[in-house]
Amino acid sequence: MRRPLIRLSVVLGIIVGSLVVNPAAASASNWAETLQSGSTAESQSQTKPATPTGVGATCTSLFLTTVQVTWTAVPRATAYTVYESTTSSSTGFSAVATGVAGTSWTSGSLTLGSYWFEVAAYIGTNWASSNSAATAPRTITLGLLCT
Amino acid sequence: MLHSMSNRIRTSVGSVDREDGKHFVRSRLGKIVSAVLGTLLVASGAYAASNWVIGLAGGSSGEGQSATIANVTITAVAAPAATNLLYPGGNGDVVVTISNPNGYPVTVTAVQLPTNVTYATGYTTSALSVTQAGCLAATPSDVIWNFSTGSSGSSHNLTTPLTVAASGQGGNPLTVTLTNDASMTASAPAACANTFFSMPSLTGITATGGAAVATSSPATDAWTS
Repeated sequence: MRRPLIRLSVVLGIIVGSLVVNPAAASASNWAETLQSGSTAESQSQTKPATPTGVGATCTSLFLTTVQVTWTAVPRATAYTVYESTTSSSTGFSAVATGVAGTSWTSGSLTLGSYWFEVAAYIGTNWASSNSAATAPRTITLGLLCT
Repeated sequence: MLHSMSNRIRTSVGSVDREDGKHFVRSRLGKIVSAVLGTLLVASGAYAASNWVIGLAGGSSGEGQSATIANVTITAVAAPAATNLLYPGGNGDVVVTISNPNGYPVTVTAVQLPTNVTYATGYTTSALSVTQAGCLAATPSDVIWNFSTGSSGSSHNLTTPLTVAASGQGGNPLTVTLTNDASMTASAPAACANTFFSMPSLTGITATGGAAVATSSPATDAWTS
């Protein structure tokens, strides 16, 4: 009778010891580590925004002298700049609208003559795409008709 | 008969009797000693086991002192290529390897960052050997660690602790992609487009050494605040 009781006492002692001691022993093994100076890490930036596509110019009305320019959105573009030329489809372009949000812009009243338009996309302040291809010309004729 | 009955009764209630005293002493005292002995055995065993995990084996000073703690190193790598690329006003991934030269696993739980005006240097390729004209730290490149502040050494917790295996074990060094932990301001120079960046050095890490399950390499993690 006494031997089983002794064995039971030993077992109970082991169980109690495991519950009490192990957590303390585990935490004692966690040492603070430090970082070697001069660490390096690498990141990468994307390319400049893509050139806008689908750029077109349409008369808002036959009897109005305003033209609307539209284009397809460029991924991540935050604004667009619209360029206009009254010379030809290849020269004489200058910015007529900057910071344009969305994918369209409408001119003010235009005077007699032909107009070509190009669009550039911007990401942030300084990342600009190349200018798009020029639109077909829109002409304000005598009688102030837009064709 | 009465005498023997008395002895049995006295024994059952634990009274000291000339013939049963030894039995009584062994019975109660024995239980106490056994319980204490069991506790001591477990304690010494647990303590010894934890020391073996840390590595107090051959090569130590022989004076019973703890093993030397060597610094963890963090190094830039080009692979795997970042999925999220930087752009003005946006964030991008950062890729590193973490090397642990110690004989036990090391778990990293946080990083300490330089200030938000400590900029990355731009390079023409992932080898980070030829700088990108017009996109240097002094330009500035406008590329910084995300969530860095005006104070050097701001601490930022990783979403998931990273455990680097002991030296010589698989998963050491550990390759990690830190998702969206680089940031580029809206006014970044045009020269910084299509560029590779060497991020400013971290000022420190929060890490502990000790038994832990190693993180599989490559891993993905981040700090989000």
